[in-house]
Amino acid sequence: MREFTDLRVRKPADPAEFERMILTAKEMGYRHLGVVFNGDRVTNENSLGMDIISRVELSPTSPGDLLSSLRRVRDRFEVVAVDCSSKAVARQAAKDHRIDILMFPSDLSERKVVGLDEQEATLAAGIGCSFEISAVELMRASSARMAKLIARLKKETAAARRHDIPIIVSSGAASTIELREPRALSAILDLLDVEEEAALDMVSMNPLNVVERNREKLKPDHTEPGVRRL
Amino acid sequence: MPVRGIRRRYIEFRVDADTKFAGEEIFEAIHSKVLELYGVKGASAASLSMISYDEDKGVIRCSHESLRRTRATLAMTSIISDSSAAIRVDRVSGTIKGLRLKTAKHELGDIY
Repeated sequence: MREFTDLRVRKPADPAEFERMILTAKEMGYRHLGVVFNGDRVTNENSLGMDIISRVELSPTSPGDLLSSLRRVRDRFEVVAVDCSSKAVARQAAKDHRIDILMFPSDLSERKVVGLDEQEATLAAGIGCSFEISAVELMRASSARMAKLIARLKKETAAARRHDIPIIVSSGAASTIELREPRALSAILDLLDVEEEAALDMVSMNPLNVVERNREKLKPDHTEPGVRRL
Repeated sequence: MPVRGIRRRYIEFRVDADTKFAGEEIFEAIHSKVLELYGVKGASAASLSMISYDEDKGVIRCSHESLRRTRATLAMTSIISDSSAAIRVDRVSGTIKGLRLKTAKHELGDIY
């Protein structure tokens, strides 16, 4: 049985709305929810039975900025995503094994310059980081923009799959109304020509692999992958 | 034994929104979205029709082959009559009877 994970949810300012989001996600069949850190850390204590994953999104302006941010956050969060605003940042991010997820600008003119091209995919495949697609970006787009975004995402998805880069699909929701059930998220990938089974892996197995790998690394007895202190 | 030409799927859905909508408004939003995403050919292949809608729950019918596309359409429908909304699929079945049985089982599960 699949364990569904929405790895990107933004916590709204209203605590009651956040509680509603968790309950709705639970009702939809999610077992794990990645909550983006915005200065207010969410823990598993008040999570209404949902497994909450701590996630941070870095928006560095330069490769140096990325390295210093990584030193600060890597051992504090279960998932580290990088919003690559320039090619230099994207290349650095795709070489650093401390990064779990690569994100690219939603602005189409920027996306033409910085995206998951062949070179970026080759680098990212070497360190095992994932490529993420946020459904909310597609849902909010106007017809003309959506058509261009789908074309861009199709190319990037194909590049990721050619290089065996795990693809993660998340809602990117900031409110209950933006949440979508796991099968709906995977169905959206029909627009990107992704087959049903592979699309379901992108909301279950792929995000969960990232979380489990990092939780293992964050344990105090962890030394290296596959090595444990007894 | 005669076999029905087109296999169909019945999708039970729920609308999550701050305002109440009429069934026609919802079908109009879904139909516009399927046209936007898959064009006239896709909309024709999906052969969508609204079976029932009451309060915030409804049943829509589509062709068996277009089930995934219909799910994608429902997921991408985020505006109904200029208001934000979400359409959530509760269950899918090949017959209306099957859908009602699944719903009844689910409701009984909630009670016991």
